[in-house]
Amino acid sequence: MQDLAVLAAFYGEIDTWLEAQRTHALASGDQAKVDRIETKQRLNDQAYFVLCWGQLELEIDNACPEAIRQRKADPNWTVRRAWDLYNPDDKRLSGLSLEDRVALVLDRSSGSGSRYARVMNFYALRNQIAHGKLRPDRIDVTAVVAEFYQIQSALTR
Amino acid sequence: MADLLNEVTADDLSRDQIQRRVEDWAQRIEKLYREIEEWLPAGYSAEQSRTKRMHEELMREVRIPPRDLPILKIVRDSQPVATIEPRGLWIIGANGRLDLISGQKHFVIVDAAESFHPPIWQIAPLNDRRKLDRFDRTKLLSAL
Repeated sequence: MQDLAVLAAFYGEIDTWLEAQRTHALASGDQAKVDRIETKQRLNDQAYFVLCWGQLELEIDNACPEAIRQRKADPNWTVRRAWDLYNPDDKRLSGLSLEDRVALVLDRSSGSGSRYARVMNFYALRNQIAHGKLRPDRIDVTAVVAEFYQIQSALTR
Repeated sequence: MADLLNEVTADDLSRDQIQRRVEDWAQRIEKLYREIEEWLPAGYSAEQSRTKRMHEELMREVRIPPRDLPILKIVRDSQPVATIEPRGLWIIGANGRLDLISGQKHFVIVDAAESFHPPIWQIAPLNDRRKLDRFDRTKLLSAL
């Protein structure tokens, strides 16, 4: 996730700048301007969230072939047999959906609140935004990035 | 992390669930303000004369009327030194946020707990939100 830190820093810089403008507008009693700035903040949140999600998705895509290679090399066929179905050198990973790619590196059965479930929720949010359904809520991108790093640490290769 | 991500990506939140979240938020704010007042040293006082209207999108979708939430003003020797203002409940990545502004200093106070769990208040400077620390008396006094 080589660009995640830079993205997070740039997001913080922009949001801090917008917040200063909001504070100034509030002090001036210009509620219409406050509302416009808050809209910009929400859009900024969502734009950077999608960018940051891309970093996590790339990390998952990189972890999958490693996981496949590790297990294809296992001398025990009962471990190897399902993994032999996948070609780690195939950039499309045999057409696996994101859900299935994540399931190769995070436990799909570990319940709601698990890392797998969180990734799926973030993916659902990413899809909402990227497919045109903008959110009216704020996203604490800094907190989300911190969680993305935790997810990265949990990926099992 | 707070499970607001589930709520904002779900399609089946009931009016009752949303109303309960609003009530819970109001109660957490009230309790936090009481705690802050207890932390203030001699010479400081706090008042709640102003309010901020809360009417987030999820509330509007199910026709829950707006709710006025108190703004806490911290005063020292009759001079205002800081305000703490609720900024929002439904934030992906936090179970609610308040802002503490003291002069030129601006901090965010977020609840890192799950919904309906005892709050875990954390504070960070607005311009460096990675520096998140537990919000306690020491942090409050250094922010003022």
